[in-house]
Amino acid sequence: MKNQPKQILICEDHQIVIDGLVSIFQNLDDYSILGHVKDGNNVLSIVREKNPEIILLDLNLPNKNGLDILKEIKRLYPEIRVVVLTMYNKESIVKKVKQYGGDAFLLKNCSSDDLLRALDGVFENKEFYIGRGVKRAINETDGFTDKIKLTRREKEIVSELVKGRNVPQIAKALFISSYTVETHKKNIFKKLNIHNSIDLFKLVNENNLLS
Amino acid sequence: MKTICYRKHYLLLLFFAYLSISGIKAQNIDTLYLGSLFENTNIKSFSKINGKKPDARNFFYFSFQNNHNAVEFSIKNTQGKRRKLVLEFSNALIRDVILLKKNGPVFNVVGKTGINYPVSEKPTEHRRFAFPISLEPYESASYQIQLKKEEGKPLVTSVYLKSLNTFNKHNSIQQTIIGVYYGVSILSILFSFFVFYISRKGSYLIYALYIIFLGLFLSAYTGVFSQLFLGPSDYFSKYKHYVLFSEISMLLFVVFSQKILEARTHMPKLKKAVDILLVLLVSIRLLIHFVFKDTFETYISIFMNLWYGIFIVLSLLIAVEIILYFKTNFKRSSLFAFAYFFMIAGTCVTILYHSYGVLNTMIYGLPLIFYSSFFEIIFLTFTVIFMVKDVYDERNDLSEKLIIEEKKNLTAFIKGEDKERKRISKELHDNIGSQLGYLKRFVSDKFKDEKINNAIDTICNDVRTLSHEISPSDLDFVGLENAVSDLAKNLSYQTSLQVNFNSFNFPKHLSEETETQLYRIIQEALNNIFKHANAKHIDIQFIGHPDSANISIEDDGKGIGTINNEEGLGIKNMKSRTQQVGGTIEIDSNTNKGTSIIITIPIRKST
Repeated sequence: MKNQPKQILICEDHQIVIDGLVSIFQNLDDYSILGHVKDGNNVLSIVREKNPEIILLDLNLPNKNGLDILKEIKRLYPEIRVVVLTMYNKESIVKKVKQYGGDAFLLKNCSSDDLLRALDGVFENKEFYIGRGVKRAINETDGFTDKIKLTRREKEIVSELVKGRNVPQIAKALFISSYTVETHKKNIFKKLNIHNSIDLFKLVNENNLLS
Repeated sequence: MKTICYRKHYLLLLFFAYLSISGIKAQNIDTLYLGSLFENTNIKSFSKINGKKPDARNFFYFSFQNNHNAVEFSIKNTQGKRRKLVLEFSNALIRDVILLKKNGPVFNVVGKTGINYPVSEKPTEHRRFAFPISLEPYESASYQIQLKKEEGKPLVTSVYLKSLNTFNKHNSIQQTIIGVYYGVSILSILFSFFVFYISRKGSYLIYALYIIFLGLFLSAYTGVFSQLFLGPSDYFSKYKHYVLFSEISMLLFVVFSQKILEARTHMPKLKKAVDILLVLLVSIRLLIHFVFKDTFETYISIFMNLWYGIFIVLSLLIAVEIILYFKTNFKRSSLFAFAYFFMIAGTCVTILYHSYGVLNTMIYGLPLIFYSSFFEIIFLTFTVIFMVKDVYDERNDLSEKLIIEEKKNLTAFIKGEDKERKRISKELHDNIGSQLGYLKRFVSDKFKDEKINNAIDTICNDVRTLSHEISPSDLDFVGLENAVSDLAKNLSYQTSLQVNFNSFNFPKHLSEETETQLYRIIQEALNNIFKHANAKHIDIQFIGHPDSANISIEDDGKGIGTINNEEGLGIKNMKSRTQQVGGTIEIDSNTNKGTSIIITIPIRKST
């Protein structure tokens, strides 16, 4: 015999979606629906009251930001599995959900199979489940290389700066306003964490910044 | 309005009546002793000329009857050296001036001048009439001055005996004063022409012409005209220029005053009266001067009295206009009132001097009207400056209002658009999206048809993308940086553009309003670059500084050339949004050098 069916709470504000979900689980023994919440503000109290094992969470509930709800649930009840079911398909949102401890990320147009695979998955292995069609971060960079990278225009300005030219001269040479040059210069110094042209000169020579 | 020329013959008959013509016996003449300190003597105040002083005036006034007058005086050089003197007349428009020196029992002519003589015969190169006199050591000499004036006209003049040094010194002072007068005149004329050129309003041209004719009149009256404009063989052509200039300047002044006081709009009846009187005045003056010159010589006094009468009425009418205009434009009216005061005062005093011999108006050898005209011009020019300022202020106000109105409209438009977009986006995203999701599962559970499933998935994706393009609802979840990062990645996937996004110390907690506006600006910029710039790379950078944060968007496209309407609206939109978050936007572009957009927003330091 199977175990007790796993209790699911649906956090969703569209009745038609709720009905659809309910119909999926009707004939399954492994899962049963505890109920649903439509208002984002009520989610936590219902969770406290009904003590579900799984929450199907829409990020777009009225009155409260879905990510905040996720964060709080995971803080208070880390053992509850939260499956995010949303219309959003954005890398940054997927990342956030993962970061806040979400267990799975599914699109609302996922198939029933996909949904069930996700539910099975979150109990079997504790890996973050990503549904079909969800965008994944392709090139995760560690950030540092980004920070030292100069843009084309910035390189132009650095090369003028190391020639010893001042802002008005650079503005004239590049056909842009002094204000723009000034801002670029400020940005470059900030990015490279330097404070004067001597530092810049050193840095350019040591790191081959302009190539 | 400078109307001095005419002389009324009020018969203040002078001692010259008996002094003149026959001449006076030499032994009655007292002698002026030229000591070492001698500088300047008014011949009229040299009372010993005839032993008594019947006339209190310190200048010579000849009424109309005596046409020919003579003044005699003796001088003695008490020094053992040669003395050089100058005999100078204050009036620059005398018909004949003859200086004679007594030689034994007879008088010999030393020099002749006057307006009937060619300019070259002037004994001294001076704007007025002056004779050099030279006295040998200890010499005594007796002189006679003969003055001839025109019939029916009075003549007023001072006669001075000056040492050559004093004469030169006075001459320099007078030339300086004259220079200042014409300097101010020329500045005012240039200013008026300039304003006329810009505004194309006739009143400024009239003012410039008025100053020119006033200057010509004063130059004729003080003798500068003959000095500057007449050749050596020219005659001083009597009073012709002088009367003509004075009439034209009066005409211009009245027309100008009506424009300044906006008489046509504010007091049309008064203006009509002024116009009629003006025509009357000018025609009377010109008729008796140029047309009926000989016919009415004996009736000149009657005509001139009539002329003065009309002149006074006209002056009063304009004064009333000025007072009425106080209500409309106090500043302009007051300035003009000062100018008017100087003009009327100068004119009246000069008439009293020149025609009636009541006052002496010579100050440093120049007539009072010269000084009053100077102040008149200064005040008139100030009036004109304020007129220009009024027009300028009015236009500024108007255009400012227009700009504010336009900004308001744009802001309202953007806000309305944003609200509507948000609504549609939410509807698409939440409602339609959710229902499509349900439909998808419903269909896929019933029919295991991959094609249908894929089709529905595509619709879902499209709705999602569309919803997101319409309004960035994920800003709430992930913040501006992540949203823009996604935007950059998406654009890189979907198009041939390579979009790099970098962020350094960018503030995390901007208001929702600010984030939304910034996101929209970036969206708009990327949209423009994608559509028009033909670029390959785009760099988006978010950089935070201690008191500001900036966002730079650079591309390597063809630059913004001529801006079409759609782009123009986009740029306006970006500017308006930047303003709404209190920031500044700088767009730099060059043909084939790419475009760089820098948005700077102030950061309030959170405590």
